Amino acid sequence: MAERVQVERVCKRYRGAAAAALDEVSLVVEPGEILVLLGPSGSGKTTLLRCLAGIERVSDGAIRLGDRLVADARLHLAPDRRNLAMVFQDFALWPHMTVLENAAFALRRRHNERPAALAKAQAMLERVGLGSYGGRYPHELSGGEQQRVALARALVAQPDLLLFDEPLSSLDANLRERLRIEIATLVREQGATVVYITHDQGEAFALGDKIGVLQAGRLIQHGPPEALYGSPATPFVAHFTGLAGTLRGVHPGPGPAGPGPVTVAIPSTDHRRGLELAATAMSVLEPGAPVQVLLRPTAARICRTGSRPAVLRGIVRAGAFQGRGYDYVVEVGRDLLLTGVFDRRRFARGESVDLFVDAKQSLVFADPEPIDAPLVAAEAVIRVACGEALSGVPSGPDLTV
Amino acid sequence: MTTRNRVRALLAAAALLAAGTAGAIDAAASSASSKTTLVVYSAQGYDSAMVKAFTKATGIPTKLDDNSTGPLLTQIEASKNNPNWGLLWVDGDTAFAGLDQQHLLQRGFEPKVAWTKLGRSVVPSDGSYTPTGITLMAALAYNTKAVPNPPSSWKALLSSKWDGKIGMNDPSQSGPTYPFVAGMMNYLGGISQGKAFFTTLKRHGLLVSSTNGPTLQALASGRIDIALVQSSAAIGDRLGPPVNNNIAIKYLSPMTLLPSAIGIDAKAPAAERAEAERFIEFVLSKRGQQVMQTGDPTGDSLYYPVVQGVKPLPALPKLAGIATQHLNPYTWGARETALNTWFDANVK
Amino acid sequence: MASASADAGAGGAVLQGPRPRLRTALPSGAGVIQAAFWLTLFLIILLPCLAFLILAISPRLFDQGDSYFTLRFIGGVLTGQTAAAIANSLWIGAVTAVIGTLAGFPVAWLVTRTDIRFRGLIAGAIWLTLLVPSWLPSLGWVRLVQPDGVMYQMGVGLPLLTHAILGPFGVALVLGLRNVPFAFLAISTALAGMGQEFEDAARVHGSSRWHSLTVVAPIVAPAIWSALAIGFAESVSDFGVAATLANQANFPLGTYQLYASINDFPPSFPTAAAMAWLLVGSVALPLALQARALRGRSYAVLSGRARQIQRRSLGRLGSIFAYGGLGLFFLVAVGVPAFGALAGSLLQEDVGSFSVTTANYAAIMHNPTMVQPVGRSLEYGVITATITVVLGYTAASFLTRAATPAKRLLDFMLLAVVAIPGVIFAAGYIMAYNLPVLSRLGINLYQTVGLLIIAYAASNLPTSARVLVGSVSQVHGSLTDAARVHGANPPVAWLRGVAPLLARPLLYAWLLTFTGVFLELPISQLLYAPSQPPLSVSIQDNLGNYHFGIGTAQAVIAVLVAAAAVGLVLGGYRLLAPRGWRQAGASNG
Repeated sequence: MAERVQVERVCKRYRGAAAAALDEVSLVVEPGEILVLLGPSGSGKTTLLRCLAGIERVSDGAIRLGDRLVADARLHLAPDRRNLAMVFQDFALWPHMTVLENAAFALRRRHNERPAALAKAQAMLERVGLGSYGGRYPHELSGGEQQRVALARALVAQPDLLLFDEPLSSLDANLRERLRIEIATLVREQGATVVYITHDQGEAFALGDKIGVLQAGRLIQHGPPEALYGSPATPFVAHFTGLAGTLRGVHPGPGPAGPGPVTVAIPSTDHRRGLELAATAMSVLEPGAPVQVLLRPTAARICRTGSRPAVLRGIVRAGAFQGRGYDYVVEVGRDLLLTGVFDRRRFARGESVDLFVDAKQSLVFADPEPIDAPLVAAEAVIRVACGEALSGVPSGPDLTV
Repeated sequence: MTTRNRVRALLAAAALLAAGTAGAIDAAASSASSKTTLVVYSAQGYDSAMVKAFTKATGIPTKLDDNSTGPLLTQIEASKNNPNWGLLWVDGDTAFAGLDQQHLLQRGFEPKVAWTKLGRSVVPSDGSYTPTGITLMAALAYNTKAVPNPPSSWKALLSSKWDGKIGMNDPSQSGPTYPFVAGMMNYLGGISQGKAFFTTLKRHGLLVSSTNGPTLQALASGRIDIALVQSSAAIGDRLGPPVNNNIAIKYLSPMTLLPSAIGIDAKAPAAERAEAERFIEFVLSKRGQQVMQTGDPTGDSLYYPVVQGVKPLPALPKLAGIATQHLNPYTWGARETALNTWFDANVK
Repeated sequence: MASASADAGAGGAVLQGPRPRLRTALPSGAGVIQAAFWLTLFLIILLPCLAFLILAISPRLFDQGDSYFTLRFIGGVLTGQTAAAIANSLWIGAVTAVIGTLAGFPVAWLVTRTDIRFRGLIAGAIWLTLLVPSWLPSLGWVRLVQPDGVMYQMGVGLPLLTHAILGPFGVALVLGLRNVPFAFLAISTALAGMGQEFEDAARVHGSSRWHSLTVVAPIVAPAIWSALAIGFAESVSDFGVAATLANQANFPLGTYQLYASINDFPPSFPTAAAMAWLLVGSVALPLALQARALRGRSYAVLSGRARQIQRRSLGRLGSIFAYGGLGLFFLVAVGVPAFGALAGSLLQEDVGSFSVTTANYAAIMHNPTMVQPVGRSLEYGVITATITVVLGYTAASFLTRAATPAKRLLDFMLLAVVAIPGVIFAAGYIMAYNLPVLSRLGINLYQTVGLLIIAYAASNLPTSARVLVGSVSQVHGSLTDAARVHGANPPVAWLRGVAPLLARPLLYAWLLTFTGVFLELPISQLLYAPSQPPLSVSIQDNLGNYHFGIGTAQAVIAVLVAAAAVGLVLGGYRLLAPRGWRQAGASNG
């Protein structure tokens, strides 16, 4: 029942638009797999989903559902002939139909007898917890309930492929998590192949067997969540999968290093007092090459003041109580903040804390076009890099060129 | 274009098609029969009786567009380069002269009939139209209760005695009325004298209504006491129904002859023009004249025949006792636009 | 580690190198249909209007004169009778715009901001007055006050009233009252959307009640300008009053003068076209200014969020004034002319006698040529309304899309049709559909019912599109998409997913066009197929021939038939539409 989805070098260009909405996107979704497409708005994820659904035509490339070619530059199989289902961001429930009629729609269209269809739809409504709501109209339901109806409508005909278009984005935060779990449970129960799009990385990691990250119409990376988190292909992917902050520095050499553990030098406001930081290179780094160090949220941890692992000293600027402890915002330079620094203890605002930085969670990328980022304050540097390490790296204002 | 929009466009196109075919069907209907349909533009009261009789007698299908003279001339003017009429039948040879000068009428046709002397006098030399009857402009219909002593000459109408009591038709709306206006100018010795006559009437409170009907209605309602209208309309008004004995008619000297006439569309297909000629011959035949005299007995049927052997209806006075004049339609037809515009601005 | 390039390999075996693009050069089916839509708009809107306007300066192009370029006709209409008519139209337009706004504002305020009772009824009644064409009340007034009219027959002789109504005063009165619904609609939208908080904020920050009004006034000002602009444009382009009351009163107005220069003889189309320039100019200018003024500060923004409106309690004295004022308005705007028409239809036509009779109705019933026009107009109304709603829906779908040049063009075309008085529109049709080029293409529509219906549809298209555009924009595309992905083919997706939501607005748009066409005058007058007069033409013919009793009786029958048809359609919808449709319509419309 569940089908393999193949997307082969799919391009989508809109008339009059300068850039392609989709630029040679290729991927495979194995039967029964949940693929989450992650990307900011305008990245092309919705377009890709609509191409899969058949609501949009592809300009080039091909889409296969199972053995069937459903779309290429000339062929376009209409959505109603692709045997799929979709949950929409705005629910898209028909306001003139009752909840039960909405849920039974796909069955009726697939030539089920009315009583049978209604019975199946009723069973599916029970399954999503809306068994007693069949006679109501959508506008009489809450947002979460409406989206459950939409879910029931999508699941009821047991389609080969289930598409989700940011189904949770118009719901409240607490509702979102609950419904996310329900969706995961229900689709795994059915064993359907799922393509799910979102711009929320938490949602993506929680749901996806695989995650694809889209940027400006291109698929940047595609793989299991762990791979994306541990080895993001580009700084963009790293940014989109969650960061506490960014530091800029240089690979001192001698000789090329990485991918793997490296030590980089981070200049401070005092060019004689740079920071030495152990990190993980994501690619080969040439000696003297400028780099950016992207810190995952859990990379920086508060340690005892003056303790050995401490590399940085910062000032607590804000703290948010999270139950098990606190999420702190720590300032390590003018306008240079590390966010989401977790600790169980309570620190007052303005208090000075020492930070340990986990090398495995500090991701180093070569930085061909140096980004304009604030400098670490000289007084924040605890582990000082030796002088040569910083040679060749201009300090102070020159760096911002 | 998404599929959704395609559906919308499809529906729109279907609707357009429906709208278009409505016209096409109409057009197709007229060409369905074997004989060409003769399109008759007419403002005559007896026209529907006439086309029925004609079709019955000849088997030629006809399509009648019965309207006032104004709209008929508008239709001809509008469709000048795409005409769809076969013949025009209205009152006033000046109108036909105007069309003839624009080369819109077929020339050189004269039916073989025995004209009366009166009839012969209004047949044009180039055969561009054919007179079918004659009425007079303008008969003076008056309310005998309010007016024991009616004016006896045109100039007497200018007396302050009739202030606000005289009504006439609007020459730009009533076909027979321009010939009256022109006739007064001709009689009074020139355009400027004629203009003075009408502006003086206006100063004395002349009421200008659109056509014969409204002017006579104003007379009936007592709004005015004297109505200057077409002779057939005045006599018909007296005949009723209901019979109106309070109305009397006077024919001042001179009365302008107002021929009703038929002209044939120069651009019509030859077959239709031939049918139009047969139509004219039928109208002037014994049977045709009978139809003309019975088709609108209290209106347009009250005319003086132009062919020998037909007597005017008994309600008509003897023409011999009435002084008449006939305008040169070509001279006066050419002035129609200017004079109507002048009348519109200064008298109406 | 999975990367994009690695993944491409998975299915990439099939695709060796860049694939040649094999799109066919022929336009797709959708493109052809879209082209057909634009061709339709060109043929039914642009061509007639342009043809007629060009005629004024280039009569030779249309075989209507000697010169390919001349300003003679434009110069000509700036003098004499035509100039006087245009001047009359302009000042009547200005005065009636003010009357309409002055009367419409308090009504709008009462309905939207006070606790006056029967608010829905009042608003509904105002809406209804909008459906009645202007020649109807005009006819009622004329029949009432004519020197031989109802008033005199009843023995109430008021020559002063006759003199006043059959003159500029009467024209201004009838047209001014006619503008009240337009002003009411424009202003009540603004007042309803304006939250109490603006006034509250002013009060809290130290304004007196009166001073706070000056704070609020600028928020309503665009609506007032709108009301004035629309009122002016409506009056200047009105034909119904111009052809009846004003014509009877010998008070020439632009639209009728234009009609007369075509319909009186000898006809002069170039003169009519030259007048069209002046009329279109004087209507388009205020409408363009209004559109411009609104673009910057649309009060749609103010009404975007549902706000709680605090209704002011009127108090006893206030209520008396309010009901009194409203009563007076409906009496003068509806009651008096309705009485005039009704009484006129029931009175014996003879002078001096006063006796009620149904003879006029009997005469109509026994004369097929009097009954046929009713059926004819019903038929025209039904056909036109159906076509117009389809076209209007298509146009509305275009208009709700993102701003493309095509959308802007459509927007402009629809606005232009509003600015072009019906009589000019019809005259344009006469010119355009007599062009030899069309007849060579086999399009011979002049003097056919087809052309009349197309002209009706084109002139009603903008209103229909505007009525629908709001509802269409509210229906998200995802509703059809959802139907498609869940197995519905395109027609089913539209019928099941969208049509029920639009049923009500579509029905209203249909009724609006139907009533408009059923009683339409200027286009009917100029374009009706020979010997097949529609109802309004038949009525005018009877009145023109002084068959007042018959004419007014026909008018009364017309109103009753229209009301019955509207009631039938609305009632039928209530009975037949599934509950869900009405549910959706209620939350939508």
